[in-house]
Amino acid sequence: MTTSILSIEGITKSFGGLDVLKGITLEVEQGSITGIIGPNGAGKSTLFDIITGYQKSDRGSILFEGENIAGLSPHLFARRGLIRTFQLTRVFPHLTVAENLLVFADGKNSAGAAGTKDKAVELLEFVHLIGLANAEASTLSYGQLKLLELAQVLMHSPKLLLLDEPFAGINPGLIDKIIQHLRDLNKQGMTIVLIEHNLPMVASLCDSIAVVSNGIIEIVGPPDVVVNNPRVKEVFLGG
Amino acid sequence: MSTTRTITESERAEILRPPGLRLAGVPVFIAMAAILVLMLAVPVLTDIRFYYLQVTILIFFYATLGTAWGIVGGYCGQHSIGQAAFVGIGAYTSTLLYMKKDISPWIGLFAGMLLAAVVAIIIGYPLFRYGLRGDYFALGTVALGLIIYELTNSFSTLTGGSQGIPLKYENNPWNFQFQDRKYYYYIGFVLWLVTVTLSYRLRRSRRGFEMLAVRDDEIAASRGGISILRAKLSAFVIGAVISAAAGTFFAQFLLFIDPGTVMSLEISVQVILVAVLGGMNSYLGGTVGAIILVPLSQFLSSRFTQSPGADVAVYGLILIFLVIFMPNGILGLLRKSPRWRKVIGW
Repeated sequence: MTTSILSIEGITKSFGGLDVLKGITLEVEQGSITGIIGPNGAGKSTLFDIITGYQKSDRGSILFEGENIAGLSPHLFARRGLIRTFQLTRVFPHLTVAENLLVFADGKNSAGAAGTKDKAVELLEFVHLIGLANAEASTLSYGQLKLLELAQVLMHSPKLLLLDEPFAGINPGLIDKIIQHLRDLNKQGMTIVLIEHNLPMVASLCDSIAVVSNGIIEIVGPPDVVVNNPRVKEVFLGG
Repeated sequence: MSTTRTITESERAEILRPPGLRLAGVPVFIAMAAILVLMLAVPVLTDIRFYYLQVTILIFFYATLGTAWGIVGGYCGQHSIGQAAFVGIGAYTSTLLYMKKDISPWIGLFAGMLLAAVVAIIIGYPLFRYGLRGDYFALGTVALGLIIYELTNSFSTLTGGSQGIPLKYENNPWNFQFQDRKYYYYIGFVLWLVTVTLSYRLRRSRRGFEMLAVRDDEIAASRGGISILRAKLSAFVIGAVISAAAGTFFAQFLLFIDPGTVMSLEISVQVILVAVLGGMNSYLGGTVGAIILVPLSQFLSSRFTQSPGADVAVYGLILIFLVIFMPNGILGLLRKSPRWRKVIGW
């Protein structure tokens, strides 16, 4: 029997007169990898913002491990084991690459196993940034910043990891390695939800895909079902 | 391009090494120790002129305030323009307790620090809780400074208003008063050293690291579980408490206080200039800034006695050029060297 780690029920969000989310309902199963796809402006990142407390929904509820987490301050999500990356990377530009990870070493910020200093070094090696460990983060390229942010969130060993376009700007050789690492983390029990535009990649990585369009989830299901859906083909694969 | 390789044990140790003076190497370490010893010996071994002693004491005072401001503005990125309010709280608390209740200013020093902490929490909590950032936070602290200033002026029956309060003088160490000005030098030295040590230890601590993270990106910090409110409030309170201690020292040094002398906007601005010029991200920034700006300010005011205001104009021009060519301050020039970056705690 599977259990939901995250239950999203009837989330709505408007900005002025614009209804961005019109009642999103989604169950994320414990130990799964779920992909969220949809055209630009569909509300995917807004949904992530609401799940992690950076925006408040107008209506609806979000349960994490069965507990209502709506209204919590953002910093409390990481402490419960829920952590995310952003579409536009968020790191500490005036700290060094190593310090960007060490700031979270040996802390009590994570409900998962707190990252150690050794883990920071291992992650820097993993994302190929160890040679830049002493460089200021502001000097990194966009792709390197994406990698640094990924390493930063992995310091926390979260229970639920939300990745917003994690592969944008990263060289293809490294993408394969990251995908393999995400699969390994998933096998160890980490639940992953990711927003990504590359449908074949999402289909190969995820157990389940949700298609967001016009503020609602149009279809959700296993990759083969979603990929072969005529509407999805029309939007993503050009018919 | 990314760099793929496995690092050696020594490289690993280097990456993980926290910021610290030890990285400067033995010769620099010995030189710094020698400077400290020399600073202790100068008033005893030399017949230092009264004027230079006074200037040096002012350097300690502003270096202390600049270092304290560096914790708020440099570490945590909260550019407070009302720091003089806390200097005034320290000065007035100890002075009023001494003058009205005959309580030793040494005790008043701690009372002032406590009151400054309480005021910092009362003012800082709503400012930070409701997300006043950047220019808006700065404006909020200007308002704080003005409110405290005007209240002090208004409650003249208690504070003496704009007439100020001349402190009764007794040559008694228990009253924080000494005929020999060298003692003020040593007390100023201790105040400065304690403040720099605190700032240094904070920079190496987890709480200090959290402040830097909040300064750089609040969203990334909160995403990682760091409480923005706690980090900002801690920095603000620490800055307030140190400033209040410096305020008591200043009052006892001058033996006279009025709002214009101990809590003016001019003091707040001078403190910021000291920290920015030295390099506000470093625990040594306030010290370096004070060593340059305080004597410069004193020198210019003594050179332009016939042209009131000219010294301030020249001072301003020099500062403009310094900030244009060194936007990160003097110590900021060292930040590109990984080793020196860690030495100065950038």
